[in-house]
Amino acid sequence: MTEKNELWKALLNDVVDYEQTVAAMLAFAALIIHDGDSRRASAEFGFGRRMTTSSENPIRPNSEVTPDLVAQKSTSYGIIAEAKKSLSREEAQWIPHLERLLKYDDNLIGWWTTLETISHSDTIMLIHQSRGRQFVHFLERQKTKDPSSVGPTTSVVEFNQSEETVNYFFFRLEYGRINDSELAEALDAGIQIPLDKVIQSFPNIRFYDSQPPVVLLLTQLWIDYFPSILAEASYDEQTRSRQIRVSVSASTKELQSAYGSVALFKDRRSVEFPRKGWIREAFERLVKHKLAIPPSDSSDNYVILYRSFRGDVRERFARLESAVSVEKSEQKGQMPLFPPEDKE
Amino acid sequence: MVGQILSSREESEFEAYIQALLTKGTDVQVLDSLAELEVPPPYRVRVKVIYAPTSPPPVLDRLTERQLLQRLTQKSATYLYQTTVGHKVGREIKVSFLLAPFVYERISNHVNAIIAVCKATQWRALRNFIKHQYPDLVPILLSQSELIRGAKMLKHMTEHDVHVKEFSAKESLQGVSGKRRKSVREWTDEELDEALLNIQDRHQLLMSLNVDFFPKVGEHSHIRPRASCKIRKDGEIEISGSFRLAFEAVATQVARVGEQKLRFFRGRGLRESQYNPQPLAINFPRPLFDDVRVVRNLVQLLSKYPHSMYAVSHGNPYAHVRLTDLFDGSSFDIWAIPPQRMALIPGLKATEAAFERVVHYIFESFREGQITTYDREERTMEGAS
Repeated sequence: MTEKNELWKALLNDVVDYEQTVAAMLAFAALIIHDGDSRRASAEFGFGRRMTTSSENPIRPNSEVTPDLVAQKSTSYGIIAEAKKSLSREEAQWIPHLERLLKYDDNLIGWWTTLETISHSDTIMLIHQSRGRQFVHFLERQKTKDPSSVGPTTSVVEFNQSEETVNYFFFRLEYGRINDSELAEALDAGIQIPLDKVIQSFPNIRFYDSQPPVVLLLTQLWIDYFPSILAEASYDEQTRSRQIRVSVSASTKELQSAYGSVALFKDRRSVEFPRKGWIREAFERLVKHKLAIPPSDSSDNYVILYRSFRGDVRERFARLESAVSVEKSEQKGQMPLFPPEDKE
Repeated sequence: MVGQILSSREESEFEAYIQALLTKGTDVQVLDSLAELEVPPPYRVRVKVIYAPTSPPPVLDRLTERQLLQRLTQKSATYLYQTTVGHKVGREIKVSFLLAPFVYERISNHVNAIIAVCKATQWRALRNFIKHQYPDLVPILLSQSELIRGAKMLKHMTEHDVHVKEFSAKESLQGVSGKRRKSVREWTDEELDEALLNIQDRHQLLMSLNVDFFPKVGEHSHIRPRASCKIRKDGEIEISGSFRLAFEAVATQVARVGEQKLRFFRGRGLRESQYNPQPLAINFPRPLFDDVRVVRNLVQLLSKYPHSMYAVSHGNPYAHVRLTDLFDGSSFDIWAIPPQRMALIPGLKATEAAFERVVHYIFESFREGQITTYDREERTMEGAS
């Protein structure tokens, strides 16, 4: 397989990983906040919610942290989760994940209660089954070396997406204890959350508080956002495209409202995603692919040179990105880099 | 029975008469005149029921301003369409038509009828012109179940005996290279219910239905039909005999079904709904998507959706395909969720026209199902009215 083809497939896999991470987080949130029939009283969840660490936090006291998922089951129990569809093959690169879990394994402030505190919570590594067992062994080895490296309420819950007759997400506890008897029973045996219910409950959530692969953003813009404002576009004979003037700020705001943070529960502790910087980066990629003209001033207004694509739009952007990446690496004389995994 | 027109002189005279009739009074007066009109073959009264997101009259007025149509009178919404057809030898086609609302039927002004008295060649030219005004003008596309349900109501509405004399359909053929569809046209003389039952038993996909209306007294029916009507799935109707009977029964029914459907589809784009998702589902009567071949077939079909762009997020064993309608920039996420449901999640923009077009495509090229809201309530179109 050529280098370009390898990279193309890797870029597509990154998109699938991101989408499945979002879906898994939504499914897990649904497990926490729903009782099967309706939403539980006082239940809420957020992606990347700004929580405040206590003064006793061993890593970062009295600071702000933004876990992937915060879900409150009741005014007395909630979970903090870090989600991972895939992990680096190098175990040395797992240390930051452990540190993050330790940072979250704390009496965090920021819950949906009067004092923003909660009496019981668990810190969960939500990890794909393909890496779950290895991560548990890694965690146990680290704990043996240094007992303080793993927090008292830390646990590991594996997930996979079953693709049988009825499609569902499956979650099971693989390490640690869950301090809520109902949730403990469900996760001990393993529990299925039907994909149908996840989509029905959250049909339009596409992002979480982690930068998506640029191919995913480019596809979203090309197949949904730009066509929706095409009526304002004029046809340009020279570029054989329809020229749409868009601002990074306006597009960011709309994507947040439709598919991101504003589409979920919003209060002063909510973070915004997708972020303006991610959208700007995507617009710059379009410039690179000669599908946009950058601002000629200090504004954030781009001119998109819009035309319809034949064939799969996602694959098209993956090919464009892999071609640019290979070209860059050939110029530098080194292997192309994969997109970075961690946000912190 | 009126004798056939044989000479071009007679054609010119008849067309001039029709134009005068269509311009002589208000819409209501013109419709009354059409009810009295005897129409010689090859001319027929032809009706197309259309929808517009605003309403059809402003759309036709804009076309008039662009000189693509000519308004013949201000008393009624009567227009003249002219074009030249044929590559080597151009033939001039002129057809005058009335744009009529369904005022007495409490059908909204989004839905109107285009009514012309013309030959098939003239009608084809006009139909083509209307088709190119999409999405400003939207055809009413009937599903099999809507066509059958509508046809069944005709008996009760008109208190006539209704017979099927001809129908066209598509049938599945299992060939060496896989399943294909062939077109069939059958002539018959069956009572409506029986004919529809046979069509359903043979799993035929109806494209058009040609029915006769026989006046009835008690158990006794007349031997000559009072009206004949060909109803097509794209909301077109050809009428012989009593215009009033056929228009009030058939065209009104098509308009009612179309308006209900498009109203159900309206306002679901995320921007229009203030970012509150309003997705729809197509529920199939039997499990389908546990067969991976069916899922793959669906993905293939969606990737071939005319005038669109696509991206396949997941193709096996469940399907998630993103589609953009290039006519108006509407977009959808389409999920095929085992065992038997499809979810249509509208994007930032999702017009009712685009919804109708994609649903019709799925029904025609894949399978028909029941449309409901995709939420806990699962309201149907009929239940939502």
